Amino acid sequence: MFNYKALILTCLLMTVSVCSAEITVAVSTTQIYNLTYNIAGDDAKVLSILAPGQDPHTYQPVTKDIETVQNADVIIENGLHLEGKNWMKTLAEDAGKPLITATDGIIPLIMDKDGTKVNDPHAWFTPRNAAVYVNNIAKALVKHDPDNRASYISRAKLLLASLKSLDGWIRSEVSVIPPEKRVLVTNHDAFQYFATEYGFINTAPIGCSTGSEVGGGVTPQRREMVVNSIREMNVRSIFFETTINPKLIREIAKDAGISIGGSLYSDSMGDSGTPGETYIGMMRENVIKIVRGLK
Amino acid sequence: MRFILTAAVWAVILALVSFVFSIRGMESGPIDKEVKEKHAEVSFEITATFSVEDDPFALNIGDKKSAFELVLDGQTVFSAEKGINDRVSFTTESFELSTGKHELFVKANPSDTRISQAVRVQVLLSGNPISSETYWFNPGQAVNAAHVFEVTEKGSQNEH
Repeated sequence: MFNYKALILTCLLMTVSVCSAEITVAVSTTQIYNLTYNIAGDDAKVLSILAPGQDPHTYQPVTKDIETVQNADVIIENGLHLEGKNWMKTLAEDAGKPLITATDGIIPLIMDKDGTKVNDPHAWFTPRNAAVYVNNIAKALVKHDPDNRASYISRAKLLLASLKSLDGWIRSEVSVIPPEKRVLVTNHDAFQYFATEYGFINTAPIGCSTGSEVGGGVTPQRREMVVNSIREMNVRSIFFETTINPKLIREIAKDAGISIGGSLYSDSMGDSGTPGETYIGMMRENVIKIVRGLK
Repeated sequence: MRFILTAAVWAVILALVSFVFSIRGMESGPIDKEVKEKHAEVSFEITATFSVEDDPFALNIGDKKSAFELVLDGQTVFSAEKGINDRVSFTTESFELSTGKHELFVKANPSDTRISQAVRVQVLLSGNPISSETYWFNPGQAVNAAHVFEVTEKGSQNEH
């Protein structure tokens, strides 16, 4: 006998699922995840390819990532070759889907990579650049899900106001470090945008990438150069980054006879439940450690 | 019969009450009207410590909001996306305001987040300053200043 009740129930459930259908957004890094999550709210599902602590320069996609990108409505990468060998672009191309680049519109800083000038991909390290990310992400969400346009715009405005406030706060905090002491030494050149925006000199023993694929790794000459510059500039503390083995920076600190200022969030944000799990928390903790170590 | 009598008594009472109120209304009417007709020509002189230009933290989707806005009693009376220079005063057109309390709300997004910002509001009655206040904001903070003032027959007063 035909079960009418089951048919009606199925129809109702289908109606409910169609009404509450949310778009899925796949993003490459944890920073983009957090910014997107803050704009998407309850109206979209956001999935990050990288987990906290994973390195975008060296990451190699797995089968699950292919499925994530194939099932996504919106795909967002950092760009500027942060994703080593352009792995997010490859995933999007393989899935036959358009790719949004969060750094579109940012004027990139140039850095030296094995004697070649390349664009610095670590653009999110200033709230001003993060505002460009927010604009690009919000535009993508509004375009793919116009029904929730007002909610995306509302959340994006709140996030931009928070970024503006963060920018003012950082300027106020770093102002207590005398200009001659604003020398930021970290594992690799991730902090060039931050340093340029807030008046620091940035130096690192490793080049722009942490991976061997772009010739990363410290040479004895570079290490000696860093130790010498630390001594010449009378640097008080140096920092290691959460995604990179601190062994090298400890050796450099020992050679230069200075202290370690702590770990900074760089290419990845913190685990869930840590202060660095949000963009603003990550920036706040970095600034507090830098100010404490250098003032 | 008793019902008709009760209704008649109530009708008389209501008629008397409405008659008394109508007489009192006629007496007080012209006075109220005279009070409401008291108006003053008020303009505002604004001086900001920042220039109004493109805000790097603005959302560039859809309706573009003005970078600087003056809202008088809930109505936007002045807005600008650019053209306001730091520490250069400008004066709005005159507005006819009734006596009583009013509010001028200043909204702005200074693009320079490195320093504290301020905006000074001066209320001018027929061109003469009658109330003035400077509002300060921390670096990165949006400018949102509510200047409440009272227009009296003699002039204006700050209300904070």
